[in-house]
Amino acid sequence: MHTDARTLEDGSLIQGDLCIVGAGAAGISLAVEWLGHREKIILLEGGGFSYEPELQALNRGQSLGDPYQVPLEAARLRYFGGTTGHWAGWCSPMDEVDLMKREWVPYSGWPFDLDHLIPFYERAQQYVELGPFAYDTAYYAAQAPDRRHLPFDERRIRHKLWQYSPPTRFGSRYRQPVMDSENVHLYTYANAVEIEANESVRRAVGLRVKTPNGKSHRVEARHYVLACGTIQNARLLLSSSNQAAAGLGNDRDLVGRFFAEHLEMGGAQLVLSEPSALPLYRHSFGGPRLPSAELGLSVEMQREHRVLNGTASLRPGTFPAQMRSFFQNFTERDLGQWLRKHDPSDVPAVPLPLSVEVRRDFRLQCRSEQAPNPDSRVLLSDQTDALGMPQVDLHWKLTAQDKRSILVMFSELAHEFGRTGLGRVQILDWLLEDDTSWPSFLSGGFHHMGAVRMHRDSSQGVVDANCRVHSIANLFVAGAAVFPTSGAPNPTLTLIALALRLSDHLKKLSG
Amino acid sequence: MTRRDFMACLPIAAVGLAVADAEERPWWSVPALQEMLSASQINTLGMSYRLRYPDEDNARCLAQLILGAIKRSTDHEAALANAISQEFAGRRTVVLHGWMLSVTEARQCALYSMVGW
Repeated sequence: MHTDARTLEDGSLIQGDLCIVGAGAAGISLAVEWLGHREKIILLEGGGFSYEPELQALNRGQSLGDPYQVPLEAARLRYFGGTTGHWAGWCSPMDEVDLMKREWVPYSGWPFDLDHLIPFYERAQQYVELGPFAYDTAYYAAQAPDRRHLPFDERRIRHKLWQYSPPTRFGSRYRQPVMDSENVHLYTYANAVEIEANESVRRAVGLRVKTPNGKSHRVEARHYVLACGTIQNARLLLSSSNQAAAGLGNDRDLVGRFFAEHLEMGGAQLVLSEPSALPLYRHSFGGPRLPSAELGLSVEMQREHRVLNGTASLRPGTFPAQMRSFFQNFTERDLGQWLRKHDPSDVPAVPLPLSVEVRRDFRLQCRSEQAPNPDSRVLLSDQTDALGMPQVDLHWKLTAQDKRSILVMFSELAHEFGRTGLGRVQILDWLLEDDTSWPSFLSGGFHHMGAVRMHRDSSQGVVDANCRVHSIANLFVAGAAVFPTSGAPNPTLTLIALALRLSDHLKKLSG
Repeated sequence: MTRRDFMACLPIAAVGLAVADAEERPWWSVPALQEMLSASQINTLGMSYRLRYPDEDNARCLAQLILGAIKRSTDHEAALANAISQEFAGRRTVVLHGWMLSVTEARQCALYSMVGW
């Protein structure tokens, strides 16, 4: 079922059993889990079914910390399907170490281990149209012997496998099932601007919703799930301040803290001793894609060097003298251009023949975990958006451990390429200069995580192990906002797995 | 330079540095590195090593040190490759212009920057 909230009479009351705020990967996965159930699900989407600049502008904010060199309104998409409208489809689960309490990584540790998440990952694979949940080199070596992995010492260097979603555009893939549903009711152009709590601030009692054409509605449900993206989830909690001055769930001043991104930049140049296509390590940005691998440090090496998790991808070619990052490509605020750039029809459907890519030079690109950092945070701004909601100030803060971890990874890779005689590695200057400065091409992956972190202890997390806001009985959070640590892999598969886990929990609560 | 390395430089042994034949590489050459880096790059790395370790800025000294890494082997090329591999494994490495090199191959670059081949 679908209703354009702009067409409702001003001041309408929308009631249901479960209200999901946000129709991106997390929100839609959650909603789809409830298709055909007796409960009435309200799915709120701030935008419509495609990109609209004036709605996208509602995500605008300032970057005041370390340079986050991309407009915030470009990083997340505000329409049905959310950011899957421009994601590249990279999928891989967290590593075991990502969920562990690591004494060398302050604030690390999830409330459960990787084994607990595996069944949810297996289900998440289907949502993004992937095959079996298989992420080890042996599995793929058995299928394609030519895709051999480099013979590195596994005590030092590990392989990280990736699978590629088509990529699934949730907006098109799940639109019809939602529209046809009798119990999942999608409201487009319905922007949640405030969560209202009861007098004791122990329960959410309603949501205030605004439409772009100036109408206000109210939503009431038994349970509420915020699934509108890391920054917007934090923003909505912080700006819901009528009953709690610091914002809902923010009794411990934790909402907005621990914001994290993955650091994705060129870090080293590899020259092979023998030209090769390195087929196992090859990836492309479209068409049918085989799984591919990246290299990273073993857990033992991470522990020995007291560094964060991360991987290095091997990309054909040599870095230019003047590096430009993924972020720096956003020199103009033309999101439409960005969308066209990632339209799957723009890229070859069939990967280039291997022979074309046999070469010696490969760029080593890092994809690194950011250290959990309470000073890396989302705050409300004095500025307001077109709906009167405070904008955000993003204070992205990196640490010396972030940079050192990348340097150590490339240094260890350089030693292993040297030891095996397979090649030599040149570490780029920016990594060797010092421990704290970052280059002009500092870049992330558009992976917003943390800010509403999960922890069993309410003094250390906003939500509990079931993703429920500690202090509020019926308010939950879905998405990468709850990640206690960012890990190294792209977050989509994990956030879907967590959404499915949350859905199971809510079903238990519903009896 | 370690004291042991320094001592190795003292006896001026009959270490052949010159290329006997224009077609032939000297025993201390770095064929693997030459496959990966240009002559100009190797020269630059060698100059950089000599600046950083002035005590070794001497062709005979460098040759002795390289010879010391391969012991008494007659198959110099294989012995050098093995020594370089072991140095990487043992973290006996040096970073020159960002390139991670084993100490022996860095010395080979230094020697190359002096006498070429």
